[in-house]
Amino acid sequence: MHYALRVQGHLDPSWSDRLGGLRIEQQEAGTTLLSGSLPDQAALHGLLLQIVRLGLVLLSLETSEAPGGEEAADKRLSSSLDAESSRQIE
Amino acid sequence: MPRVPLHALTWSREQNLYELYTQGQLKLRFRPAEEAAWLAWLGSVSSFAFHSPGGSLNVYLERRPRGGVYWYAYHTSGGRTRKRYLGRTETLSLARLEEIAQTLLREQQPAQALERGMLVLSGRLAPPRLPNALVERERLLSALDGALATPLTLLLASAGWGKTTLLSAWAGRHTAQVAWLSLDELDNSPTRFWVALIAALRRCGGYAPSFGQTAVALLQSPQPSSPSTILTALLQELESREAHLAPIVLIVDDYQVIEEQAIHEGMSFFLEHLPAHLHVILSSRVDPDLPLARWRMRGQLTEIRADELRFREVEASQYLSQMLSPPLSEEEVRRLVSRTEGWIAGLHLAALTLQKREDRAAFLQAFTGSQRHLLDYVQEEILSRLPTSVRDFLLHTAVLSRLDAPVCQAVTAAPERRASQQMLEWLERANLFLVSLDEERRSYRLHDLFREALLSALHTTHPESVPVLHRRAARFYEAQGEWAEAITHALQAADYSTAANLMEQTVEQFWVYGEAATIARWVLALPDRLAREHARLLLTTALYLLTTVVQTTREQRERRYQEAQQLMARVEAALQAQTDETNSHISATRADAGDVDREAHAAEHALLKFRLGLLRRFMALIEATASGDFERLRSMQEVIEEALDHDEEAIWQTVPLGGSFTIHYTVRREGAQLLPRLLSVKERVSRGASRYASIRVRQWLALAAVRSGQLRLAYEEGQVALNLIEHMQGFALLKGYVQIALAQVCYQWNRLEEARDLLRMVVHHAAAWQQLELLGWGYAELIQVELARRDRPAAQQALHEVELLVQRERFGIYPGWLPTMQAQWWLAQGQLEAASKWTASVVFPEGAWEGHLYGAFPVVIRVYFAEHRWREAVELLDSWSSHLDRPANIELAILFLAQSLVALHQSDKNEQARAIAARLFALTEPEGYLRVYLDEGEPMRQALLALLTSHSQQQELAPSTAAYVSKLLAAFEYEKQDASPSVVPATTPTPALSSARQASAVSFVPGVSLTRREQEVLRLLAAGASNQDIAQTLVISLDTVKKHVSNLLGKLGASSRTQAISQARALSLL
Repeated sequence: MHYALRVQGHLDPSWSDRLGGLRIEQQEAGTTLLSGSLPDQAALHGLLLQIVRLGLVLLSLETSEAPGGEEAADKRLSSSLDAESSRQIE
Repeated sequence: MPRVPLHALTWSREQNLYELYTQGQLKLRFRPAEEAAWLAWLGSVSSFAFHSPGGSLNVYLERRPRGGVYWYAYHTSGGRTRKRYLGRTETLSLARLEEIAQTLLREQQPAQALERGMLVLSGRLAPPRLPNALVERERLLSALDGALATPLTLLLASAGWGKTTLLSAWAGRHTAQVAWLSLDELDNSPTRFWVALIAALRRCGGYAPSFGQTAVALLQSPQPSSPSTILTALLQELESREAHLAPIVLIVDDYQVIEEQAIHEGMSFFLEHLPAHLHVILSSRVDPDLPLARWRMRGQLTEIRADELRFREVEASQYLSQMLSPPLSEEEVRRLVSRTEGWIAGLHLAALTLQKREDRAAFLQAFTGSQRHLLDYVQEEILSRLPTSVRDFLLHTAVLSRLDAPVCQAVTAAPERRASQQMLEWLERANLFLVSLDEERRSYRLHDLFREALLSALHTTHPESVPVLHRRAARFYEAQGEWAEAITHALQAADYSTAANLMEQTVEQFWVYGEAATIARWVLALPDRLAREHARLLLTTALYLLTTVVQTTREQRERRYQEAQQLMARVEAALQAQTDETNSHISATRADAGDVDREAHAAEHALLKFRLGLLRRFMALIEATASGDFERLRSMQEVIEEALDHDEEAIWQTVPLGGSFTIHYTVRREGAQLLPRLLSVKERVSRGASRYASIRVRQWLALAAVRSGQLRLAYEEGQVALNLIEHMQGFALLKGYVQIALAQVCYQWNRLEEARDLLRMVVHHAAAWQQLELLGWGYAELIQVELARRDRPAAQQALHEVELLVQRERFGIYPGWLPTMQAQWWLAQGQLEAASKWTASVVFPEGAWEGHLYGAFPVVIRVYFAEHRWREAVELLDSWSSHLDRPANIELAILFLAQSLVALHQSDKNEQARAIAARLFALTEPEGYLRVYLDEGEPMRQALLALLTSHSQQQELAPSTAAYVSKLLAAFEYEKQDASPSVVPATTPTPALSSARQASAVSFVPGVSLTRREQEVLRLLAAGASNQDIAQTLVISLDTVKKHVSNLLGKLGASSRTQAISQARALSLL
């Protein structure tokens, strides 16, 4: 299942590891988009608990079925994002 | 009894070598360097005792179920035996033995180590120290004062809103009436949670140090009671203190860590029934799973939420001025407050960042203008500006949930502990989110938010070091005996085999303290690939889970069954995978080299399969027992007993053994045939590591021994079991059944006061702990004892309690027993008509009897006796002899024989009576039975008197039997003479010995030598015979009797008959 969560404020991409390995994308509206697939509900609950622990303000949560073909696209997207974020860090 | 080895190897200090003694004879000497001689000898023996300067061991060669023969060391101290693997003969050196002896000596108290681990850390029972920069927020403090108006106050806001600081500040103003508890993740077990809560209440001074003892005993038990029972006990205790106490406020911080449903349910129950003097404040980051809406509506709830916790400008300005100098301008404060939305963690971060900045204005501009999440300032603005040593210390210790100098030293691998302490103190002074948990500044906690930010930085910069740090923490806590911490860190390190090994070592202890569910959770966290290697751990955990449910509700049982089945399913899957693998392996290669291995594997495989099957049978057994389905239990006998002797491990033996015990003892009313097996198992388990198994087996042994008429054995084993239980707090709930067995023995020995004291303890504890079955049983036994003591009001009281219990609890077992108890009461009261009417209603069927009929039968006979219906009694006894006179229940057989003796004697069937008496005496004399005679009253006395005084040569009783009968008659006399029960003679625990001594003592007592006639007269006097009686019995004249009596008085230096008898007793002439 594919998830997209929006939280308030700009979060550094380095949090990805502590946030279910989701992509971290800073949006113009001063929000951060967390997106990617999670294996099951347990993983989602874990992620929500971590959001609670960090006191992040959750603005929205959307889910969509991740079809087979999209998986590969996801990967491509994520690697390009990774490249981008690493550029940012530099 | 542990085996005593034939050989003993003892270190000789003078000679600097080991001396071998075989049966006390010095046979050989071994110098530590002479390996060959040592190994040659070792190869020739299978056991020996080893005494080195460092400690002693018993060493045995044992065959393992999986194949192979290995040496094992046993070390016993404080009633507990520990076992260690030593290895094969070829590798067993004297040095290894010395090393093991020393380790075992050092490890003498692992149970205490765990108890320490179970204790609530004092740092959690007091509010943390207030931070250096503190704003006293009066508006919130007075809002908390309002907490006293409602039973519950909730402080709800996510991390960093200053909940804990506010509560600490408030608690600081009300120290006398505050009980404090900080929760952590490990508290997700009902046992830990409630024990910690009780500890917090104990600390606050409003309650006695022993407060909540019952509840703690109920919780820390291998078979915990249901939550409502435990909480009811706790609430009752709270309630009873209400009148003379000032209100108490219990503060529970960080309630959001609780995820366990059972705790929420318990907490709801607790809060619903809170006594008026107790108020609770819960702080949580999320709304807790409690019926808040209902309480809100009833006005029982005060809520303080993030909006109120928000720092206003005045407060923020006050706070920032403590952190920064020169202070910020009003406008700057306003902008900071608006940027952080009054979130104190954000203000704190901003202040920390500003402290280090020269260019404040520029930073403030950027800070307030940016959308960047405040947490991200930790890494760049705060961490990067700290010296490397400080930064590394923070990053490394972030894996810990609780910090103190020793653990920090271990995790950072620092050479010095002092450096860690200094670092902690420095961080606290620097306001780096380190909270001190005690006044001595020993233990600390990092603020969760800061810790999360540090962990994020650690995972990004040094991901490889994370498992290393956790592993260090695990090793540290393992050495400290803090098993829960050690296991959780090992799991976080993904060091599963260490975690599994730690669990293997401690699973029994966790279970003993009511934490079976916790260990099950950890075991399930192990990855599937380890399921094969640690299959035994998985199954043992399932077994422990199942043993916890005996006293619980159907729902709780279902929940546990599911968890157990989850564990079992993993093992099944692993076994299946292995079978597939082996099959393909065998078909691919037909190598012979692996034969031994394969054999061992096959044996292990079979054992696991067997245990899986046993667990399934265990579940069926629990269900049948819980629902009192005796038919089902009867039908299970075969499959249960099939499993006996199948498994070497003590704890696994207890399953079929317990099942078999229930079926024989409770369902079939037998038990004597269990004795040989129980005796042999007892020997095996007392060498094993499971204290539980050891106690359980002794408990069954004591009860089964009573059934087989072996009072002495029952007494001995019962005492040992009680001693063992005394040493193990967690086993208190096992005590009742042992005390019942002891009370039954004391009753038979006519030690009625002791029996009554034991049974009063049984019913007291059973009532407190809601062990209903035990409660009913205890009262049933107590009725007998009180009737024997002729304390009718007390007997009536006990009877009344049983009636209440039957009404209230609708018991499966006791309703059948109640009429019998009632009839006994009528008999004692002399209400013969009512008793007689009852006998008419009792029907003894041809087939198997229900348990209570065995209890009813002797009472029916006793009613017949009271009505002098001797012949009918003989007939009834005769027609049911096959039910009553069985070797499987000697206890019952003895009662049957005793009543038969009376009935036959009174019907003048003297030959038969004599034959019965011979059997009866053979069973009862060596064990010192008294009560079984006394309970039949005058008709029995007459029967015994006739046996004693019968004169034909062949019918003469053996001297020891004659002495026994005299003693019985004397006991009758005392019963008759003196209604005060305290002088009723009691047998000593060694009646057989003393009666043997009495028999031979007659001619040896210095200064007193009695003629044969005088002895006869004395015996009759002691039996309460009058001069006339004696004259008739001995066929002599009245004058001759008087002469004998006066001679007796003279020889004994007595002035009255009573004095003469007691004198004779003192001199063991009787």
